[in-house]
Amino acid sequence: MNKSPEISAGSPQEDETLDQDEFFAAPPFDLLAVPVLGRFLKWRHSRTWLQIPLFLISMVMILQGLVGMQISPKNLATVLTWVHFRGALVLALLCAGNLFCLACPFMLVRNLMRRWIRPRFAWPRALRNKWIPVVLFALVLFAYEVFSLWSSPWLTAWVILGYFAAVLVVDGLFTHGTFCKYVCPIGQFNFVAATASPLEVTVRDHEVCDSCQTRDCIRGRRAPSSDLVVLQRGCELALFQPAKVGNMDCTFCLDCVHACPHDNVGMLSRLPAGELMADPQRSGIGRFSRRKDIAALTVIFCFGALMNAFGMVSPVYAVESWMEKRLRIANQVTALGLLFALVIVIEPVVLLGLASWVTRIAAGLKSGLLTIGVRYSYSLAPLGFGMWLAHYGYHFFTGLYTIVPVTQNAFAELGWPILGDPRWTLVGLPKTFVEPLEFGFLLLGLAGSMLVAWRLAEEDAQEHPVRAFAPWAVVCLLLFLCSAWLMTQPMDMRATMMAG
Amino acid sequence: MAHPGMAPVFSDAREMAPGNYESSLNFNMGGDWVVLLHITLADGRKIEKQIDVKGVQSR
Repeated sequence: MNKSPEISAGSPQEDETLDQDEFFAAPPFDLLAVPVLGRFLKWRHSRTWLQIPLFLISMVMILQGLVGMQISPKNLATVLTWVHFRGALVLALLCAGNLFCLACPFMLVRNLMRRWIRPRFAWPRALRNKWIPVVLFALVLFAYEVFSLWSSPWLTAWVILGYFAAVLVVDGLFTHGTFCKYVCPIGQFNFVAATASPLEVTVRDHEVCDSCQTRDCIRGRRAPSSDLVVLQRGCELALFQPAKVGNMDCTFCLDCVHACPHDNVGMLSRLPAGELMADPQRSGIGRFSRRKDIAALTVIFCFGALMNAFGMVSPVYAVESWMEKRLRIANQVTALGLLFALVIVIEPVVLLGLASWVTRIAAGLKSGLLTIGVRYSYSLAPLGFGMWLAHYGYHFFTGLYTIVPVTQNAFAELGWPILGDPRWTLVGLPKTFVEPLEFGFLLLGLAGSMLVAWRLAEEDAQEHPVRAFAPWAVVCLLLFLCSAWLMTQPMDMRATMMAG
Repeated sequence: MAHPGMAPVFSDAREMAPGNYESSLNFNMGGDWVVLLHITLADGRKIEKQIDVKGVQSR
């Protein structure tokens, strides 16, 4: 920040300016430097101790989902999965970072398996991208609607079991963090959302890394007696700390923190979504502008948020019914499939294609339409995250206390009613509190997306950044208005397969 | 409501004639509902019955 030469020494204005200088020059907040918590996280076994409770909870969810009362609002499998887990996940991403991946129960089982089973294969080079998770993510969203997963404890339990099985198969066969990096749809959701998180696992002092000879953060810490013995593994997702930028592909596993012999990796604060405002070379990823797969993931993340919310409100009936009549579609599943294709494929292609075309013409850019579209599609990540926050936050807050009667009920079902009769009147926070919060999340997302698009436009069209910015601002505004409209619609929790 | 986390609706039934009970419920949201009857019989025994009401439409 420049100081004004007119300001005399000791004036209040100068004091204020100096305070601001000090503020911006201050070292970032480091979660790992916080007493007790930081020490715990730096402990080598901290992740395991965070994973164990989630693993035990997931076992209880599976058990009650399979054999418990098959009424969704009364079963731990459905309540914890679709109300509390999803809500806590996005709120943790908003307030800190990718904490679910840090405490991932699937990785606990996988790490245990790898004590006995060593994977022998490398993930095929052709699949080292996000195309598989893009498809899986879209399929998960579609399956959620088609099978009404929220209304079936039994199916929800099988989804969790299937996830455990998939992790064990993939990481039992393939080396490193293959499942996390190239398969896991939840992980990809977290990676995109975490680009807007305020914390990042990163290097504290790059000069220390410059003089580092061992590179333990990626190679792992080896035994002095033999280089083949790994005492502490390094990053399994191929993120080399000194060249790592942002949260993409970072599971917050803290392996690099534990491996670094110089205690030079922290969990530092940063500008949320700041990593989307530039396009540096990223370790393990490359440049965002050259990653069509990650751009597609971001687009599905954003438009999937719209579709996921749209599938839960009354107007979806009217659209489905119109499609059934006009297109003579006999069943609801096909209609829903077409609706999905329209919202998460055709709509973004048309919208982003048009925005790219206008950007190219108005700002006089020489890049191709696809290049422009890929570059600016990342600006949609904060808005998409705002939509997910609004949606999942709504269910989380309005159903916050339901965990109490559902847990009481679970104990009662076991014939062990130590927590008393279920208090079904306990539900959650009132809508008058939650609805403004929803709009706040949406506005936050809109502001983040606008800022990212503006910074990219400034770089692309230095003379007339508004010309490059305007088309993307219109796209963001349209998506925001759609989301805001969705939030005002009456919810309609249909169960497609059962009703069909 | 079939979705977890949604507010349940409660209502007591009144005996209109011997063996005939009536109650009104406000389905305040579209979608699939589950009506659970908690019944206490004259001899003190408690039974539960479940009635699925699918496809309630929003106004």
